[in-house]
Amino acid sequence: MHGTPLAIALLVAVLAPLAGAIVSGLFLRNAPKKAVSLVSVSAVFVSFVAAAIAYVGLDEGSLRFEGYRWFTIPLGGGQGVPIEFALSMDALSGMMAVMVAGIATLIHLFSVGYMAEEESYARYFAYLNLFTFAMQLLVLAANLPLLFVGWEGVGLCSYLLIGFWHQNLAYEAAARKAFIVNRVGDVAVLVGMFLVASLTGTLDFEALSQRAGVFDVPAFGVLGMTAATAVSLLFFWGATAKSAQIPLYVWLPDAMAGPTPVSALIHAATMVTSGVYLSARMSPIFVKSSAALTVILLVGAATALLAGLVALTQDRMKKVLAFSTVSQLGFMFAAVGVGAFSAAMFHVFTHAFFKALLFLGAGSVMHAVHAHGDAELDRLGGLRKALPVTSLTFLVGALSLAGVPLLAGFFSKEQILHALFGAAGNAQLAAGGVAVSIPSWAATTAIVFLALAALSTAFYSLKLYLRTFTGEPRHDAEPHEGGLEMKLPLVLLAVGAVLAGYLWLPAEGLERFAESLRAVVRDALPVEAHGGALPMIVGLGALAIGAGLAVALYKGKAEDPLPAKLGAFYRAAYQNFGVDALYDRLFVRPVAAISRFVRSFDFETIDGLFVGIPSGLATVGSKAVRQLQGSTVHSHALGMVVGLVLVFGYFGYPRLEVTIRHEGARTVLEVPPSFGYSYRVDFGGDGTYETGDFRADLTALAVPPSAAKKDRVVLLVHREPLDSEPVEVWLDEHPRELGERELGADFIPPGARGALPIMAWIEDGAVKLRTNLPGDEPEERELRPGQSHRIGAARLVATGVAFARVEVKNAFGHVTVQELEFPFRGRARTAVRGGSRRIP
Amino acid sequence: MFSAYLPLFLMVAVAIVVALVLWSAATFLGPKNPTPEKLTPYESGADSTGTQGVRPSVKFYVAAILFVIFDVEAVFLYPWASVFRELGWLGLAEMLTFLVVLGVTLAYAWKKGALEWVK
Amino acid sequence: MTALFALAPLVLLLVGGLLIMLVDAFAKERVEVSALVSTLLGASFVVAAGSLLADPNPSGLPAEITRYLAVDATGYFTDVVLTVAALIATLAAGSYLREHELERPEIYLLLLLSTFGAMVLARAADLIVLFIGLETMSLAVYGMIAMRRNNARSIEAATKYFLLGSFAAAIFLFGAALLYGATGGTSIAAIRDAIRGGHAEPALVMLGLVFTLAGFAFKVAAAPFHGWAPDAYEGAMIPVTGFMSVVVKAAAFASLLRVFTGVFGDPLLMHPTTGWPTLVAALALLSMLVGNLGALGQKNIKRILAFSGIAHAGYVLVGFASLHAVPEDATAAILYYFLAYAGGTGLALASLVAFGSKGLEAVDVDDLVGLGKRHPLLALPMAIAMLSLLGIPPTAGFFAKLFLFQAAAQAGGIFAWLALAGVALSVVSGFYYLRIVVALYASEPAEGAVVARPMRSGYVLLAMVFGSALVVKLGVMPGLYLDLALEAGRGLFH
Repeated sequence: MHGTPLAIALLVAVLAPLAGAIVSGLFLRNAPKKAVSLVSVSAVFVSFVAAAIAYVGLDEGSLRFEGYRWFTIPLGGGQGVPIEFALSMDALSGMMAVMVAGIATLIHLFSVGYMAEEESYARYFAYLNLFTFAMQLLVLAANLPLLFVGWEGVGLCSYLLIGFWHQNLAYEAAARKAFIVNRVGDVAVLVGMFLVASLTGTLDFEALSQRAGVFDVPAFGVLGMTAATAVSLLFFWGATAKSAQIPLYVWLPDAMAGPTPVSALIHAATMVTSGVYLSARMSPIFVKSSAALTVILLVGAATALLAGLVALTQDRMKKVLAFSTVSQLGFMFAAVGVGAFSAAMFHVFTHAFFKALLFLGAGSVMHAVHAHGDAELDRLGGLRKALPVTSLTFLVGALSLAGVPLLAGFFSKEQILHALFGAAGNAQLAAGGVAVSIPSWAATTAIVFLALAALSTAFYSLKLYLRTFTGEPRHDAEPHEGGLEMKLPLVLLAVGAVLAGYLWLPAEGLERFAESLRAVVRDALPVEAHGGALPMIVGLGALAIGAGLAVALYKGKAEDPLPAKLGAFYRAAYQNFGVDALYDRLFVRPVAAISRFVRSFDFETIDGLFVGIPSGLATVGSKAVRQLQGSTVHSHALGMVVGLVLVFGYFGYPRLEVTIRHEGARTVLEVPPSFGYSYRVDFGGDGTYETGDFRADLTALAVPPSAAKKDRVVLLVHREPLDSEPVEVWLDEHPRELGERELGADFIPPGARGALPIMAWIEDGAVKLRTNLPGDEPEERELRPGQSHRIGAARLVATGVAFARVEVKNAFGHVTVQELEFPFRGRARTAVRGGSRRIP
Repeated sequence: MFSAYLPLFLMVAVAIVVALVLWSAATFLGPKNPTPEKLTPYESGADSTGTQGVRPSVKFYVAAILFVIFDVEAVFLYPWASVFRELGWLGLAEMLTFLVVLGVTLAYAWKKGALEWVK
Repeated sequence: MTALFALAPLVLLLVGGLLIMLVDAFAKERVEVSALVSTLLGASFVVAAGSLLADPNPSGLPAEITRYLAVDATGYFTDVVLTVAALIATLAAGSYLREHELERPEIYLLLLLSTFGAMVLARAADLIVLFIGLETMSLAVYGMIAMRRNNARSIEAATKYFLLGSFAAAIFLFGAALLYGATGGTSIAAIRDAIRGGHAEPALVMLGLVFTLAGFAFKVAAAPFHGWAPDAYEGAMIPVTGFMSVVVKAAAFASLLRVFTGVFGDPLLMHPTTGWPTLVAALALLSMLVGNLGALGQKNIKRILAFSGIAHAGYVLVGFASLHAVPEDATAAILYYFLAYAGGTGLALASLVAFGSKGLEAVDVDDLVGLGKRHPLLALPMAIAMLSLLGIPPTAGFFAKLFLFQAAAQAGGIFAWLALAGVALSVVSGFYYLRIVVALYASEPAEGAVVARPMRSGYVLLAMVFGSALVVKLGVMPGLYLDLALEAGRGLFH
């Protein structure tokens, strides 16, 4: 292990919370609560101080702590990707680490008051510490596998904390839903990681950003995607789970079952933003794929709007805030989608303050009115007098979320809108020399979505404040403010919610914050890309309309008038537009049904199939056997026999896979060699086998001219001037147009797109062509096998069609036959015409 | 290659045919004059009592298994003894190992009471 | 003599086992057989690990030995896996039998002999020796399951396992006989050479492959030869379940590895589309499906682990299916998987032993409810085991799966899809593994429900500490072990 003293601070920042978790989880079970509070709060505070020291000491570039060689991913042939246990901090991870530890400290502090009555106090703080550890590991990891450990760790802690109050089963179900949804995302991250490792030979972030050039290679085998697109979409898929985007956002609202400070820390400020963090980390790859960015942009914007609409209709504080979080994450991904990674991270930063503040405010309210699980807006109201601190700080948070000018939320939201307008304005974004283009319709759609989402944000933030703190009380509790340990975090977070945005201003001494971040992430947009004053007009307009509507509707009202006004739309949105029910029907129930089926298969189906139906069999067998039969001995044995028959059946008939390969002028027929296989081949279909009898040593055979079928020719189109693999065009006697697909775009004269003037058909064992190019005289031409003709850039060659009947016999004497037709010269993968059949 | 086993199959077939022929010849050709005494199972002269399904003591099985083990041991000893000189010291060591293992297990079984009829 | 030293892990067990039998029979005082047997297994483990590190491929051994028993790095590696698993099972049994007043010295001796048989099976270089190892191992296991004589479930499980096991043994033996008939040899090398040289009758070789594969598939509980596993696991005592699920499975897999890379390692037989890899891939997929989906509806922890074992057999078979493309990587991944699986499953069952006390055996998931809150430290190993079996980093199971699926991904084609299916199905496995973690740490027992009272016993604690250390070490610093597995895998190919 080595590293500068400053780098040791990274290790401390990661390990201090782990130490706290171990001490309070294992040794302070029965200790006084004060001891637990002291240990766990100070553990997180130490992490904060260490991260802050490292961040402040971070000059240009980055800090790195080298641990040991963790393991090596084998790549075959003695190659391998070495993975170190190493931590690193640059402007991006530094900002995250300080923010995570800072907010975690405040939330730990708040929890001291909030959870004071809790029996499993030590367990709660142990989980919370453990979460902070995993989150710091995620942020400070120097490579993808280590980040993945943190990624899994935060998921696990989130799972444990959602299910923390488990008097009711729904909480446990919510916990499991969260975990499983996240695992669905993890699969993608893992696959993406494999792909990156095999393409670049490294998983270290630093090395990766240097080797991102590998991804400039355009073609890649997976579904016609480029490597950059495939990798970006896989990581984004993982991010949709962790950061609750369409279609995997369903777990986050349910996750509110956990204690409120947990929602504030994990499900608002830190863990859910790790998807955005991963995207920013991978930005060197992301910016190389227009397709992936477009997908991300649309998914992010759609999520922002959908969740914003659902949030309008929710009638519980935490549900509103949960959907609001999903919506704000949508904003961040929309920014990612136009390559504005720094803007996205900026929103992560400000959002952490005001959303944590709002959640803690909600917690303070619930604490005050003794609401458990969640606070229904219909049973709140008029709390301003009783809870002055909470009320004021909550208002600050709500206004910041709504995007009121000069508060933190305003700055980051404006940045995102600016970026979007920039993208809509100039479709070509410059990204490190590679041009990325977002379709302008996509950017425009996203702007419309986000504007509507911003409108609903303003509406529900104000609604939340008005219905909670103003008007007549609709509850019968005697609310009281929490202690200092609860007020202090609220005040500090409120200060953050006001001031965090100013870090972005290009003022003296502050510019480093934004500048150094931009130096790390690869923004696709130039820093000063603006859409003029338009973004601000849109943002302020949305704020004014939304806030105005909210004040008009809710000022001094006891009832919520929204359900009546919106009718069916309200009900649909309230039910999350039926997505939960849909998923239940699509995924949960089928899996449950399959598992029931498999279970019954063991005990019933085999009995039913093989014993129940031929009931005569059931009477055979002695009493002893029948006793065992109840416990299915013989059905198990029967299962084994069935398995044996299946295994045997696999080898019963030979498999035949013929490949036609072309070597210069020669065409070669290849068959896979296999144990006990012997082949014979009849070319031309004349009934005589050119190979003689079945031959075991046959693997490749040159196709003789005699294999040609009379009256069959096929047209080969060479698109490129030299040595290209030709495209085969199979023709019959009906004249057929040769389109762009066959001839290639180069050939098509300008203006002739669409209707093509070349007809081709077969006549008397020759290809007939009729060309009718614009400006030329119609011309008819005949191509005999071997002859060629040039049209524009394309060279057309007529060639004979060979016929072969291949028979393969396996060790048991069973034969499979395949009859094929293929041109004498063509592409390596020739279309094989004709299926195979088995002959006993 | 199956033809190599043809004599074997032939021998089995002949054995089955001969057995069937002899048995059916006795059944069909022999004089039948049944009396109650003749129909009772042969029990070495003693009167048969009780039903067929008597549960023999489990001790029979222990004794039988021990017998089989040492019977097999003896079977192994014969061929070893016939090539004793060719195998040399290695052969002696191997056979001694075999005997020691069996001896220890016998001692164990004995001491644990496997050979006592009533315990 | 060098041969005796080279085979010290086996010789120790045999000689020590006989001595313990004599001591137990003739000693005046009651002897602590469990302590003796665990010490012996520990010694064998140390010797095997030492040989693996010091001189994994000893040379100059007499052909009389190596013709029957392979003395190579692979053998030492499997020795290590088998002794580790047997040691955990013995320690767990030491606590379990005493607590539930079932203490009988025979069970430890059977355990010892069965381990010896397993080690012979894993090293067998000759089909006859292989069969002797297989039967030595299996017969002792039948006896161990039936040891709880007045428990109907145990007898049922033993009878079933015995009947089906004999059936499978006969199937295997038939396959071996066909191979002998086809090639005129019984040693793996002789059969391999005959097949390579084209002196073998192809139809008989193919039939031999089918039958030996079916016999092995039974022993490793791969679908569709898995039917016996849930019942047998449920009926056996917990430590015996642990022994069966790891030792029997790992030994059979190790032997399968030798037979399929040796006898059936011919490139023609291993052709990815026409040879056995596709068939093994199908078995793998079926096992992963049946195991993971079957476990979902189970309440009994032993049954859950039985289905989980079927699923893990499927994962290992994924590695077998990729042997044709990346033989060394796939072998290393398989061997590493044994170690991770032995740690995870052994740890889970040892924990299950620790969670019960006299008259209050932990059986269902519901029995574990709230245990983690009352005894956080004691419940931790079970949670670690579940996370490892599920494959969450940084535990042993994560790297085990990573290396296996990596190998399959390198093989490409349908094998890459198989790896994807494996990843997806291991997501499904989250449902049942996590149910146990939830029960431990995040649930409250219902009013008036009986709460499990953990036993206080040194043996099982030792097993849990040992198992946890293994699982965590394999996850945090897997490098050394993977290197050893790679080294061990190379032993098969030179």
